Amino acid sequence: MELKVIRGDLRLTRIALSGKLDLEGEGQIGDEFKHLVDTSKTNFLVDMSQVSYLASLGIRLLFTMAKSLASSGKKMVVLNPQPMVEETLMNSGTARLIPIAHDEDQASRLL
Amino acid sequence: MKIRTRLMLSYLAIILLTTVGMVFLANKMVDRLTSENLDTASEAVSALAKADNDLSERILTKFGEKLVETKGHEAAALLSLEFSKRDLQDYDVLRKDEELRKIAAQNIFTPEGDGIAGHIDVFDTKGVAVWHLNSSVEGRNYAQWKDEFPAMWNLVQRSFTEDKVQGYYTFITRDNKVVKKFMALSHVPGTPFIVSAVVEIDKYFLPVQEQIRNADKKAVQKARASIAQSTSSTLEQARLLSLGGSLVLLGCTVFFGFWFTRSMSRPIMGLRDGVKQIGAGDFEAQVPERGPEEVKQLAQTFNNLGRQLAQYVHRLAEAAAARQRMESELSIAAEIQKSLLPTNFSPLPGHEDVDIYALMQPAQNVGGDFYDFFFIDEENLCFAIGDVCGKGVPAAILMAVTKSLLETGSGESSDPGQLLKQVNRRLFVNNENCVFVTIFCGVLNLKDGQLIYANGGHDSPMLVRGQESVEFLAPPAGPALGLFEDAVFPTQQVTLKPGETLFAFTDGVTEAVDKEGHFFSKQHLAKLVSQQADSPVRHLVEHLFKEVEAFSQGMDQADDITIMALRLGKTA
Repeated sequence: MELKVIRGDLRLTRIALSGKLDLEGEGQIGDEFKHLVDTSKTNFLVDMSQVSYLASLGIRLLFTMAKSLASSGKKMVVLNPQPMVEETLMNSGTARLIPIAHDEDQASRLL
Repeated sequence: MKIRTRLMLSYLAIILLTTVGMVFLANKMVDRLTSENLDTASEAVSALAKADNDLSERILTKFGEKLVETKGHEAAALLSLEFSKRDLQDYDVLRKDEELRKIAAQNIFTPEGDGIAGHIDVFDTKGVAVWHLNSSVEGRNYAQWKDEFPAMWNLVQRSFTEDKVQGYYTFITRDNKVVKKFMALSHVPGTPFIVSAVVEIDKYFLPVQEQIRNADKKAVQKARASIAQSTSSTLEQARLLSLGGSLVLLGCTVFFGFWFTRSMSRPIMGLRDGVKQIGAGDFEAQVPERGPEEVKQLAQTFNNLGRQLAQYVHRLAEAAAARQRMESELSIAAEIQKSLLPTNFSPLPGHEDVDIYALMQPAQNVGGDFYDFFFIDEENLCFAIGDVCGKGVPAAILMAVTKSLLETGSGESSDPGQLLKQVNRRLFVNNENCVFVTIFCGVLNLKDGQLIYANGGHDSPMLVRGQESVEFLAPPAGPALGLFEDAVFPTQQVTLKPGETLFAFTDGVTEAVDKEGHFFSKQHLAKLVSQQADSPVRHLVEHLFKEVEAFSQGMDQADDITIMALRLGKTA
């Protein structure tokens, strides 16, 4: 699992995740993700187009981060998840806190 | 091979090679020196012999010259005596006097007396030959040969005025052979006659000289043989001395080698014994810190290592004990979790009109999946299948709590939506870590087959009406439990006819992966369920477990796997 910061400014932090966000993947990026959220104080756009699998621990990580951002009035939007990942997000109901966008414009509107 | 033996053999090999090399080189040097000395001695002997020969030749020549001169003088003296009685004017009369002829014309023999080397003849102060062994020469003047033999004529001419004359000249014989001759001329006192003593050098001196040369050659050969023998003897003695010295040296070095290898190997053998002791479990074993610096350092390192190893083993034993305790506790937890899940399936006491079967296989000792079913009254069977976020003991605890909340809540409301809502609220409280549970919960009326259900974020079960009719129920209308305080879980309804099956599962089934990373998938699951639609629910569940296991092909199970099947009406 890999986390890359694509762009960071005062308004938005854009990151890209790739790989499997399961128990092992959560262990690999969890601390970095938490650190980014704790220190950036911006909205987050999470590109999940390269995430092939989302396990319950991955959902919990995303939800925890989104909840943390929400507590400071910020948002997290997931961009272009693969169908299976999107289904997992939708079924779990977390999309209520973490909206899903399928393009940049939609993401901008949601943020 | 022992290190001591190896050291000893290496040491001996070096010593042997060195000794053999030294002996070889020494022999080579002795051979070379001997050969050079032999050559030098031979050259010296040859030079000495040559010098001796040359000296002998010179002495012999002088001696010979003197002999010839003396013979001439003797003849001159004898003739002087004889001439006092005779008339010297008439040469013819004189030539006829045999007494005079014997003296004045005679052969000169070699010093060995075995051959003629020359002759004595007499001529007068005008050069006329008076007596000569070759009588045809008598009366002829030597001057007639002055052009043919100028050196001879020079000597003859000089004798006319000088008292004693001698010298060498070259003479050509009748058979054109060039010979060297020595001539000594002596005046017969008181007469006009000159005695000429002539010898052929080769005939007169060379035999003796040849003898001298042969004697010298023999002496040289003898000297060389003597030198060679002496050298050979010296060489043999040198070799014996070298060999003896080498053997003594070898003996000393073998003795020293034993001492050396023993002193080298003893600390290492101590280390070996120490390692053996540690291998046998004695981690307190210490080896003596002695020997060469490197071995001493090795022993110190070994002792430190032993101490560290003892500490490590102690910690490892503690960790192993802790792990054993943990595994034991996990095993107990797994047993407890297992005991929380119902195992008495069919026939349900007093309810043979429903067939239900379920299996749960955790990915670790204890898992987060669960299933449950119980009657809330005589006609309604409440059942649920769920998946707790995460794995291990925390997930198992949350699973137990959730299951307990479900059973407790079912006493207050038979509506699955309300039931999930109550459980959600309870789970949300103090849920700082955002753990959650997905649950599908239904209540089946066994009389009319009405199934009321609610879904909190769980994969939708399949409704199996036959082999050609397998459909997923509507997607979850509510979120996973524990995430949102105000979450609602709308209820939905469907009717099951006898023989129709509700097939529920957790994501551990559809997200199982094979070696190539492919997911088992819902589509594949639906296809397999369709093929087994008419099988008894127990067979259906067990068969699908085997299918998942075969699909994974020995890959580690990433998630808990739970399958539950419920069929209205007893399967034949």
